[in-house]
This record gives sequence, structure tokens and C-alpha cells, in this order.
Amino acid sequence: MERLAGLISTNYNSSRFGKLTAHRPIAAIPFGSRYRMIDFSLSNMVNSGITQVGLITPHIYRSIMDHLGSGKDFGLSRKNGGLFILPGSTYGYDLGKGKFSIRDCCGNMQFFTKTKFDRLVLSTCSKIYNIDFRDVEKLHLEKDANLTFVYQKDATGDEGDCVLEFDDRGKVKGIRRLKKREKKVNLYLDATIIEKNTMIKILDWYKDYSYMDVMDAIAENISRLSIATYEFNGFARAISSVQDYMEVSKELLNEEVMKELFMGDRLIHTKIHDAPPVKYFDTAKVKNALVGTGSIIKGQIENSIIFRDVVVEEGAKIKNAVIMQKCHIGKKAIIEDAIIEKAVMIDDGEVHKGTDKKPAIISND
Amino acid sequence: MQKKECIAMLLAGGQGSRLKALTKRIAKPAVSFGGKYRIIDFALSNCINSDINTVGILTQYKPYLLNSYIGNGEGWDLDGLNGQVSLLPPYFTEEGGAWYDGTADAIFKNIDFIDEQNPEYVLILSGDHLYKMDYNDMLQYHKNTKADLTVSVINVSLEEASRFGIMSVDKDLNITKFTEKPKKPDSTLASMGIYIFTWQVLRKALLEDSVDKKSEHDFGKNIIPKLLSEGKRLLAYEFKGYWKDIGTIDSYYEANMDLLKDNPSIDIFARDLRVYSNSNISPPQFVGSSGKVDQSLVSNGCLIDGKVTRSILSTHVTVEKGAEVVDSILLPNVVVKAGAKVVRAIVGEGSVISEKAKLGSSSKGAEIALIGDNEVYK
Repeated sequence: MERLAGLISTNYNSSRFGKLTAHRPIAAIPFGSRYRMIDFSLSNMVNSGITQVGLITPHIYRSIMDHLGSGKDFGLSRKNGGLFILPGSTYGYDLGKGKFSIRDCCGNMQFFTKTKFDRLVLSTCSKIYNIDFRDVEKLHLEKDANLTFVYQKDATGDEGDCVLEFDDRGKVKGIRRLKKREKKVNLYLDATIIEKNTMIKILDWYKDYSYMDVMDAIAENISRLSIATYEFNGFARAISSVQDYMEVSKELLNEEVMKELFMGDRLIHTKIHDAPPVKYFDTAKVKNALVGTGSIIKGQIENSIIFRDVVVEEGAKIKNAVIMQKCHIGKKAIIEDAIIEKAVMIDDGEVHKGTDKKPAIISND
Repeated sequence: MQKKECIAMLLAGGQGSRLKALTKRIAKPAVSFGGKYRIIDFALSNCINSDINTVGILTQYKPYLLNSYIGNGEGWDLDGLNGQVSLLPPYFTEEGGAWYDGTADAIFKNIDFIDEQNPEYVLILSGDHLYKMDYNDMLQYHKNTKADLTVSVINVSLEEASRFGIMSVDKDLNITKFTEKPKKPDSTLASMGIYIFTWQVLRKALLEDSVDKKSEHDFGKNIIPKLLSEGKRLLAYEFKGYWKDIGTIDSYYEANMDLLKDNPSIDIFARDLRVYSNSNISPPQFVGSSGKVDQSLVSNGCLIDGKVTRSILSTHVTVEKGAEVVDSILLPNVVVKAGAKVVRAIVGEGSVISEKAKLGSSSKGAEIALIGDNEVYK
């Protein structure tokens, strides 16, 4: 039987996330009320029937190890295949330069040589979407391609994202790395299906230029490779900064988006905490919100994302905000256009207001 | 394998017919409770919170959902290196097949299982009681008093006493008499159906009881009186906390609604003696722009576009726009369609309340409306 495996690089970071990445990699940023960024690419893989996933770790990896453990909550704690933790090199990339380094692949060659698979899905942890890679693999096999890119038309990308350039016949003629935010581009969704032999060949060609990104190596060899493309039409977003994080978080409050991402046949998996249901008191007023379990709500919440085990006291008002897990929002506190980092205690009457474009980030630092 | 001091045997085979439609499809311990839980979670959580990591679960009545929910016990950390959950259904032998015929018979038929675990003591539990308890305290008491059997008791009112098995005790809490549902109770110490036996004493009693043709093979009716008549050392252990036998629709409803109080009798949010469950992965709950929710417990995967007041919503419940849910308990996967109104009702798993349908009544004395599993109410 032919086998599709996954390989996810999380060995990159960016200062554009401000305090959100002060103590954690991008992969471990909490997102969407109960998830972390890594959950989306990892869930897409396991939901596509992939049972072997290599994960290239970032430099600061405590939080990601804590989150993934043995891979049990993703069905990846297995005798045959499962989750392979592949240590990334120290420091990793800055997001603007790349996400998937050849060095990190070459440093973990055993993953390619000692385990059984025929082709790989390469992915990162910067894109939010829900896809079945089996559909991509089907097209990949029909086209008999060396590799197939997943992309979205007319999408918005940001620093570090790759954009596909097509020729008149619809063939990929170039790959361009964005330096800043650009709209209406053919955004590469950080997912490639690549034949194992092609991958090993590329790593062999470039082993002496190991600082390079796999995408840049592919870009230099477009004419030598048979490349197919798969257009994804669903909801997909790139998250490269605090601003993106906030915008996409708010988009989750659109019921259609929320249903597509979270409530379809392919559920997003994450670490299970087994918290009690949310308890709403008689003073609670909640409108347009995602709320994580274990929370106790006595105050007002509007257009906001509340993570697990949060307490919102009476008279508190939360609007256009993201409140991460284990926060305590005191009585009559006001939180607007803000991100409250994990386990922050907001005292009674405290006020934190950011702006639509520049949310305030409140952390314990 | 390390020798075990104490293992638990959990009786989960009862039908619980007084829960009517709720147990039509599933065993009583598997009935959904308090949003995300099932009744058996409380006993299983008590076990792991008391460091009892080997639990035999006796199943009989419609066990499919119960079996799949319990799985290998990992939801309750009961899948450790030195512990396990074993589902123990009735089985066939050289002499033929037979169902579990009474609580004592269920344990008797699993003597081999217990012998293999080779414990010093055996804790007998029911899968349908609601309470938080550290069984270690009771075990210490059992050991300190050198008892053959310790029965956990709770002080009830004199009026209630005739509904329970009542223990009469002397000043040292030695049990002197046991009466099942007495008309004129001479004590208010009710048996909670939680027993710790010294295994060799129980083993002998079960073997003798099994050949007694007049016996109903019941712990309360037969085993306890038998040990009493033999002069064995039977102690009562008084439990001071909250304990509830979820026997009827009314008590099920009350026990659920109690969780909505500011300070409920059983605290599911407490970090000590946590209540665990076998959580499935579900998305966060979503309260839409036309949604409104207060004085309620709401679980993962719920979608609320209507109005929810003083209610308990289990996982993946949908309340559509214009719908209203008041004083009700909605079990997993219930859909309340647009414009429908549900008042003082219990709606079974997977059922649908059709558009603009009206279910239940808030008028005084009205019975709690009950819809079974997978029904469509028009």
C-alpha cells in the first residue's frame, strides 16, 4: 500500500507577534478558544488518514512538547508510524526569511531513510484552514507530478509567505517570497505534496547550502520539476503578525466560518483538558463569542474569543478581545481591542483598551 | 504484578427503569449528566482520586454505550501500568449461560477475576450515585477497626429513612441490625451501597450464598444479614458530604439543576477530587449575535442562536434563532429548531424539537416533560 506521511516545520519565529512569542514559538500560540496554531496542520494531516508525521521542533520547544506529548490526542501514539519529534537547529528562521530549512531536514535524514512512505505533505504552522489532503494527493497522482502546491487565489499574504506566479498555460513559472502584506495574490498555503525521491534529491543537491528554505530550492529548479497546483476554495488565512492574529480571530465569530473550520466532518484536534462545561451566571451577557470550557461567566462579553478556564467577574465588560486560558477578569474591568495573555489576573476596575489596528497585549512580563 | 491492597467492583448493570425514556436505550450509569458527564464518571473519578486503579465494571443491561464510553479507562487515568478497567459482562460456562442474578451473584460470578488481582480488600460500588468521596479514608477506617465489612452510611431524615436500607448501630458504630426500607425506622443511618469487604470474608460468604436456594443473592438482603448472624465485625462509616441516588426523573432533574446554584452541592469546578470524563474532541461553544445565555451550564460544541435560561446543555446541542430553552436539560446532540420553546423538560440524546414546537409547561404541579433519545418532537 502506498503511504502518505507528513512533515511539519515549526522552527521559525517572528518579533511581529510581540509578546505572544516572547516565551513560545508561533506553533504554540493559543488560537480559537481552545486550540494552538500547530493543531490546524497536524489535524489536517491526521484527518487525511496520515498516520506518520515528523515534527521539526522550534528552538524554544517546551510549550510545543507539553501540547503534543506522545501525539495521543491526535491519534499519533502508534506502534506503526506515529509522531516523530525531529529536533530543529538552534534559533531557526526569522519568519521573513523562511520556514522550512534544508538544514533541519538534513539533520533528520533518518526520518526519510529509515521510515516507510512514498510521498510527503510538507507543512508549517502559519496557515489556518481545514483541508483533506487526500483530494490533493488524488490530483497529484493524476498529474503524475513530482510535487503539488496547495494555494488560494486572490488571497492576502504577508512577510515570509510565498506567492505562486503562473505562465499563460497555468504552469507555475516562479515562486516569490513576500516582503510585506500584499492582497489579491496566489497565496501558497504552506502545503506541498512531494514524492519522497524528489525530496531526497533536493536535499542532496542543496546539502551544502543548508541555510536555504526548501521552497527557495524548489523555486530554483522549477524547470527541472513536474509541478502541479491544487486550488483550495475554502476559508484559509495566513497569520504572520499580531494584527493578522486579531483579524482572523474575529473572523471565527462569523458563524459560517466557524462551522466550516470547526464543525464539519473533520474536527480540529488538540490536547484534551477535560474541563467542566461553561457556567453562565444570572448577570452574564454574552453575544457573538466563542467560549472555552471550564470558564465561569458573570460579566458581559461581545465579539470576543474566551479560552478555557477563564473567570469573568460581575460587571466586567469584554469587547473585541481575546482572553487566553486561565485569565481572571476582575469586577467592572473593561477590556476592549485587546489580547490578554495566558493566566493574567486583571484587577477589579482595570481598563485595557487597544485599537482596531493595534490591539493591546497584556501579559505577566 | 504488584500486590493490590484494594480493588473496586462497580455495579453498572442495572436498568434504572424509573428513569423511563432515559434508560430505554442505555444503562443508567451511562445516562448523560451535568452537561458533559455521564453518571458513572463520579464513581470512576472517586476511584482514581482515591488511588484505586483497578476497577472491575459489571455490565448487563444494554451495555454498548457504557462499554464504548469507558473504553480502556484512559479518560479517568485508569489505564496506568499497574491498574486497569475491566468490563465484566455475564458469560457462558460448562454448565450453561446465566445472567447476573442479584448484586452478590454478579460479584460471585467474578471471583476468578478478583482472585487474579489478589487484593486484601474489595470495595463494592454502584455506578449510579452522585457524590465525591475519598475511599482511602473509609479504607483506613476499615483497617483501623479490623472490620470484616464496613458500610458507608449517610444520615437522612426520618421521613426519607423508609426509602433506604437502614443500619442500626451501637455507640461504637458496630452494625447491630440491617433493615431494607423499614416502615418504622429505628435509625436514620442509610446505607449508600458502598461496601468495603475483607476479601477472604466476602469470598467465603459469596460461595455459601451461591448454594443457598432461598437467597436473592443481594448484598443488602442476604450477604449483610448473613454476616451479622455469623457474628462478623460490621462497622458503619458515616459520610458527611453530599450523596444522591439518581433514582427517578424528579431526582435526576433536581440533581442536574442543583449544579446551576451559585454554590452547588457538588462542585464540578473544584480542582481537588476532580470529576473526570471521557471527553471527545469538540469545538468551543459559540454564542451567536442573536444568542442569549444565562444561569446555565453549556458544554463544548454547542451552537446558541436562541435564548437559554436556567438550563443544562450537553455537548453539540444546537439552539436555533428565536428558540427558547428554559429550566431544561438537553442531552448530547439535541437540536432545538427555530422558534421552538422548551420549558421544564428533559430532552434525550439526538432528539429534535421541530420548528415552533412547544414542549413542557412552567405551570405549578406540571410534570417534567420527557423526550427519549433520537426522537422528533413536533
